[in-house]
Amino acid sequence: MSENYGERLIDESSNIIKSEGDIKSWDNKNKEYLGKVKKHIIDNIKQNNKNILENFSKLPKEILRFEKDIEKEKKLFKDLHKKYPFIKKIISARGQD
Amino acid sequence: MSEIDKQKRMTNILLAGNLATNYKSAKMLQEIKNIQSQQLEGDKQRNFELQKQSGMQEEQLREQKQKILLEKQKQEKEERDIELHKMKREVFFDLSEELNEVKKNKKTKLEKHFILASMQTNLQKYNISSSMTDDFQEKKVIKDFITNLNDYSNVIWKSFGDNEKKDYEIILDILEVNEEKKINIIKNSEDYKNGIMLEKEIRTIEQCKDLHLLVQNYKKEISKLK
Repeated sequence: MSENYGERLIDESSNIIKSEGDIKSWDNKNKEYLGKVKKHIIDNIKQNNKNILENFSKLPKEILRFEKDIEKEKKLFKDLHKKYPFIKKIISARGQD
Repeated sequence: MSEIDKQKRMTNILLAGNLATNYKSAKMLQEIKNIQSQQLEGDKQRNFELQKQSGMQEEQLREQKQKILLEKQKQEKEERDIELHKMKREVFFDLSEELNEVKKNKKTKLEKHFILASMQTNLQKYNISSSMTDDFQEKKVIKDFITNLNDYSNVIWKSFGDNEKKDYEIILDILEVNEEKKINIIKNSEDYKNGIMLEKEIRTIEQCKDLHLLVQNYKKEISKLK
């Protein structure tokens, strides 16, 4: 393998491969690099999109927290609604301003 | 939490979900607000027309048209003021009737409290206070009604037992945050959409078994691989 095997892979894949059989055999011949290539690409994506991923990482937790609150409130609502049927009206109008 | 803080919390919550929305007074208050907005819009439009007139060359024609417009404006204002005045009197009559109805009916104390708070919220929402009129008799009617409403609201609040206070807090907690809306806001945000897209891309790369596809699609990244 040359010092820059990334360039070699690009070069080979665009010039040497002609048929489907060639592709399979080329993939097979270079399978030892698959893991390294994947890791390299993913590391690059993560590095180039650090801010997006950082901002995103908190959001599923927030959604989960709200979903838990919804479940909790559903149970509370069920009990309260028996005592105070009027709350259905104000809760369903919630946030329609 | 102090009484004032509790009231503020309740007001904020009820601006969204209001038990008195279907009351005659609430509809009338909305109508008054609409008329006042229309009045403002009409004034703006007429001022625009007047400014346009001032660019006209024929001095006499310009003055004549301005005079007609001003006269029309004055007449319309007088008509609207009469209508608004009538509506305001009506709204306070309705509000007093509604308050008496709440006092007489057999609803739970908690429901009464929410209805009264909704009425108080409406007064705040539509800027209703004794300062909205110059007529002393009207000022007194408004002031008396507000005092009456607040006093009765305090009476109801003070009559709450421990269980009612606990239930009241739970209802406010449920009302305070609209979790479904919050989730929708997050899911529609750019941060979330971009993050989901990147996660999907990374997952596709992780699952890929064909080196040539990766090489074709990520030439820029792979060219730096040593």
